[in-house]
Amino acid sequence: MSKEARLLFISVYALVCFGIVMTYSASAIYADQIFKSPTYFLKRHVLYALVGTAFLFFTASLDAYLWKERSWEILILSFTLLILVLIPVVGHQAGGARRWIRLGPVNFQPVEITKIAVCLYLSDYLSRRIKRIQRGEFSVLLPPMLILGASCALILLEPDLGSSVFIFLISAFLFFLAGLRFRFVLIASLFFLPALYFLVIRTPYRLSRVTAYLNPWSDPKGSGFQIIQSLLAFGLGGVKGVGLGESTQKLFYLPQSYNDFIFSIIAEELGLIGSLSLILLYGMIFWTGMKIARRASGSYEKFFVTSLTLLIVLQAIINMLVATGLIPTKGLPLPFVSYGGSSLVFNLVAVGMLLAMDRALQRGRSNSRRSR
Amino acid sequence: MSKRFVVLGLGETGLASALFLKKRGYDVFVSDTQTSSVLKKRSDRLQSEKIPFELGGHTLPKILEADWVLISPGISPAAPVYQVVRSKGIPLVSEIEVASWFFKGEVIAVTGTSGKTTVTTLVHRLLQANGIKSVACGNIGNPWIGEVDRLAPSSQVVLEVSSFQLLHTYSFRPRYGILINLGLNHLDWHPTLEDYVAAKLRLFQNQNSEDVALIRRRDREKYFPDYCFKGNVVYWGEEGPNDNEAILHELTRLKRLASEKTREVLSKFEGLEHRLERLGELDGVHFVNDSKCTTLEALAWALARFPDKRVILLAGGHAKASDFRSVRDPLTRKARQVVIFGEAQDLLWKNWEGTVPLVQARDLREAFGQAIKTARPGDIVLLSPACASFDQFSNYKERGELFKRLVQEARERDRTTIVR
Repeated sequence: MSKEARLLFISVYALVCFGIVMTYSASAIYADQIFKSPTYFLKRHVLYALVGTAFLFFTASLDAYLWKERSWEILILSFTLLILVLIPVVGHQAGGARRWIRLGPVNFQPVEITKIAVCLYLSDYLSRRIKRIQRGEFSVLLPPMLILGASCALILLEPDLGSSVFIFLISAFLFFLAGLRFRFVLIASLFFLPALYFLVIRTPYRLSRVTAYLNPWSDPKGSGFQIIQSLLAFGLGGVKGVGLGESTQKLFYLPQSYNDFIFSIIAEELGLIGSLSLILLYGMIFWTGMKIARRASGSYEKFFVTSLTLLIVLQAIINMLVATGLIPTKGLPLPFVSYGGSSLVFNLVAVGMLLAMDRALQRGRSNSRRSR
Repeated sequence: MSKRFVVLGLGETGLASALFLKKRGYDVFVSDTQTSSVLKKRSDRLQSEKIPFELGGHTLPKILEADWVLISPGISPAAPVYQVVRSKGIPLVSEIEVASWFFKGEVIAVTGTSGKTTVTTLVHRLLQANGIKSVACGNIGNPWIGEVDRLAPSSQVVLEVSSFQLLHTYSFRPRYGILINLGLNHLDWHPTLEDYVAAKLRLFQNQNSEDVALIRRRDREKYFPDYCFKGNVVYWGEEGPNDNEAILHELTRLKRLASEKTREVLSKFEGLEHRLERLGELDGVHFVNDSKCTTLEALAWALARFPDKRVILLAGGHAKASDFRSVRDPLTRKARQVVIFGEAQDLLWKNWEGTVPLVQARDLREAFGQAIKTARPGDIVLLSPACASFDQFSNYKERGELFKRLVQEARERDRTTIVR
């Protein structure tokens, strides 16, 4: 394991531990009231962390290039699951959305697999055609656009706008990295404007989220409630925070406080110092990821490492922007910290893949060092 | 202080490597156990370049001072000197590895069990036909390292690589790695089939997504289903009768070359000497010299090129393979008669009895006589011995030459009969 990979691993597990503490802090009272057990969420979260760790070590032990030729198979698997989840008997509904597949005692979100599948597929596809993309043959981009369109459409049927926007965003990043001019990425995005119109303007609850974003105080008891409570948490926390476990916002004021809005509770209890440390850890993941990507000689390796690193960091950024009211509310978890099994497990799988690639790159390096 | 290279083995490759390294300012020492007259010529060359050397044995203390040991093909991993160098942790590199440090252009590397030289030659001609500066080297008899200083950065190298050379590469990275086929061979070098396959796969170990691994789907499924390629895997179409043609067409597509040129190169290709070399016909009987064929894999490959039940096969010599029964099926399908000769006669008889009619002969000359006695118009008399030649010849070339001479004599005899 390289120095960077070790730092990456440490940062990830610092976040996981942080997550366990904060999930407990944010959920204990809620869990006690609803499930009559304050450790209801804690126990589950720790179990997911253990399962995720096992998955991490397993994927890290595999050949990093295992996924290169199998990216299609994983894509097909993810499509199958996305279709399955829409079938009422298989898909499990919660809060008006059908996003979970129930496997015995566990629920999981197929969209988490889709996120990784898209990263793997685009890394392979784009790296093979990088010369043609740079030459400006845009027909090359048609197949991935169709595949992305189809998976985003399936995710929207659940519905889960946040995840499909996220997948769109990470793909746009990869296209850009492959050498596509930024203005073409923008032009391609224009095609999504009509879709966005129907998805946002014509869907009342989403439109209300947008208006709440523009001015939360226009409807403080309705659509603006969550974001106002979140901002209040930040204000209450100040620089030093109110102290671990002392949050008042988590007492039924801020919905989803152990999940998508855990960042607000962290800011309230641990203050600016706590939130900055959290940002520092994500920054560390980003930095180490980029360091590993820079060591790669081939574009597949660069895309692979960059996309999986962005998968984590971009979700963190979006989640934090939502919690601070800087963008409209999206249902994206804070990686490794938010309560939620699928997200935690599959983000750890992504880290396992990064570690495997790091190992492969190290081996290539020691080979060339041996010869000179 | 300059880095110290010890070159083990003073063959063509060893000599070329020593001269190259000396020119690049390395401290070079050459060591070989033999003292033949051929080596004398080479050691004179070393002397004139002031390269120190020793013949007739390895002085271990001198060898162990090396920073690298360049090992020539022909030195077995079982040799004591190999074992000692390895145990001391001194990197063992092949000529290919060293040459790759100094050549930054595009390399197309060809490896496989049989037919490497043919594919290498074809690819080389294909590039030339498309106006690309190219040079064919490697195992083909022209060490790459001897060419490196003569190559322009824009020229492309078509390289025939053996598994032995691959075994000692670490950073070698061909733009195109072509693995034409795999079969049991050279198990004298490689203790097991897995080692042999692993050595072949080293061709791909440093590739990345800019590079191509051109392989046969069948080989992958059979020998390395779990291997993960770093480069992009491409299979050639296996429906056609000829793998070589399919490989060339695939390469044409990948490198965006002109397909008319490919067809032209293929139609003009007359084959290589002693490798399925067509010697023309006599009274409707065709003669084919495949003296290079020393393995069962190569025999099966050769038989597959001909129509059913028309082959009169000449086989035998010094047996290297053990499982002669493995070719019973192609023999039954393709051959009309087999004439067996040389040291391995009894072994072949035992293993091939009950397939097609077998005839025994003392040597190749007698075998040839037997063959033309039974040959009818439309038949193919094929010398594809599936054995080494050194029971009766000094090498396969000599065996092939004799066969060609026999065909020539028969032709002259034929002519004089008509004149009379």
